Amino acid sequence: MVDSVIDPNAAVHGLIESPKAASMTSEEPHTRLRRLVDDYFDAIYRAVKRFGAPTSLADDGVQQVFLVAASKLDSIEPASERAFLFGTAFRIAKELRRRVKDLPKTLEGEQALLSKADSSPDLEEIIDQKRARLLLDALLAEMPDELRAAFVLYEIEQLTVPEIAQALDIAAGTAASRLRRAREAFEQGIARHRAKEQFRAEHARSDAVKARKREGT
Amino acid sequence: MDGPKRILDDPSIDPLARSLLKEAAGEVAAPAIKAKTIAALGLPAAASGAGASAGAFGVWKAMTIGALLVGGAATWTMTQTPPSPLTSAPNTGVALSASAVSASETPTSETPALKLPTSDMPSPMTPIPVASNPVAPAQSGRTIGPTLRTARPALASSIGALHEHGPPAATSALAGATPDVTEATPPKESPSPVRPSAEPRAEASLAAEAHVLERARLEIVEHRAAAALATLDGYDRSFPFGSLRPEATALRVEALATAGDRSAARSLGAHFLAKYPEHPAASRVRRAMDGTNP
Repeated sequence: MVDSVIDPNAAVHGLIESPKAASMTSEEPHTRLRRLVDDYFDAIYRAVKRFGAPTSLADDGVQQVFLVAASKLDSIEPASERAFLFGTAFRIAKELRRRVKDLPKTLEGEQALLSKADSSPDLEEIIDQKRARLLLDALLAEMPDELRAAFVLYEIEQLTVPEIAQALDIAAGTAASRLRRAREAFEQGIARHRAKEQFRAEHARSDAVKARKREGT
Repeated sequence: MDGPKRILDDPSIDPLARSLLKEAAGEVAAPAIKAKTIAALGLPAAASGAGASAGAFGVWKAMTIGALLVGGAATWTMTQTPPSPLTSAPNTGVALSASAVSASETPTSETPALKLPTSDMPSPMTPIPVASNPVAPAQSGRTIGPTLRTARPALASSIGALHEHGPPAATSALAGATPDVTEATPPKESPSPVRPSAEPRAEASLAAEAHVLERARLEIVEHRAAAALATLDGYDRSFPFGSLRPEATALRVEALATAGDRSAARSLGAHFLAKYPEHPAASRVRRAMDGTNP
């Protein structure tokens, strides 16, 4: 059984809800908030997407993360900022996904876009990037949420295991074991993709051979 | 506690895995998205440290949170009493601000707008209790979360240059972002009806606009095209000179495409792209138009 990553009633990410937390940083609130945005915006944006938020809602998701941070700024300990932001991103992405039922359709739309690639080099580069992200997202989508979150935070965002534990509100040992399982799943997914790729390539070759034969006759 | 070797640092792993992760790690958000968030947070657009004082930030924070309430009430007000088009924006602003404050009053709270950030704040995705009032039927059960409503007004800053008829006041209030401290503090100090300054009013109007469009967007996402078109019709009636018209037009293209009205989607889409080729929604519009190809 998949255990729940976030207990909504639990103390949020190990934060201490006391004014002490705020006094631990000498920054003015707006300076601090601005710094959080500057330091983490891209990372949170990536995380919201890789956690599986629908593409169309990712912009709003990342904004929500920072609005939540702004509203809780006083209670976020300086050492927990990163974990807080990523933990919030995880919950928001999960919620966005839950609310939008037609995620596969979104993916289909993206796939359709990809199939329309024209020959402009810029576009090709973009398409390659998109294709890479689509493949990554497809591999991530095969993982249970909890494994996916641990994997994204460790392998892409380079959090430490204790930070992941804090962000997802789980024990460090649990984080480590999820990470291990996620990595196994990911490697298996890559291997499956390789096999499919090879299969398609062989088909394409044999089709090409047939076509040449037809032209020859 | 040391973790296992990361895939990016592990040459024994399939290079495809490494390149996927590397690619993903290098992704950055479009500047417009970040600018939107910065505006939604009420932070100055310049680099950190410039501009507003901490006090001003506090007020903005309060206003931002207040706008959640405003946004929540907006749909209701508009569905109950469709305002006359030409005056809707400012009127809605005043009415909503007042109703938002009264709706959020609780026996224990003297500072309704500032109450949310405290430790008893609901979890981020819990709808903020605007709906403790009996209103808001329009948003029952399928909203994305209240903060989206606040976030949306910031759209104006990223698309401000693309306004069709947008009132200049609306954008400058958001983009300029030096809030009027004395005007914005009353919710904290006095329980008497609030008379917001022009800036919160513009904010409220934008919040109301954004709220309607957010609803339309969700309806499109849920493939309820007829509902989305009706919502957009409502938007057109309520905000004939709204600041978010381009966004509304983009949504209409998507709604038409979803409804299967290909020719209308394509002609409106072409019109949109000719007028706003650089608009952040342009790619969505193109995609919607592509989807209508036979």
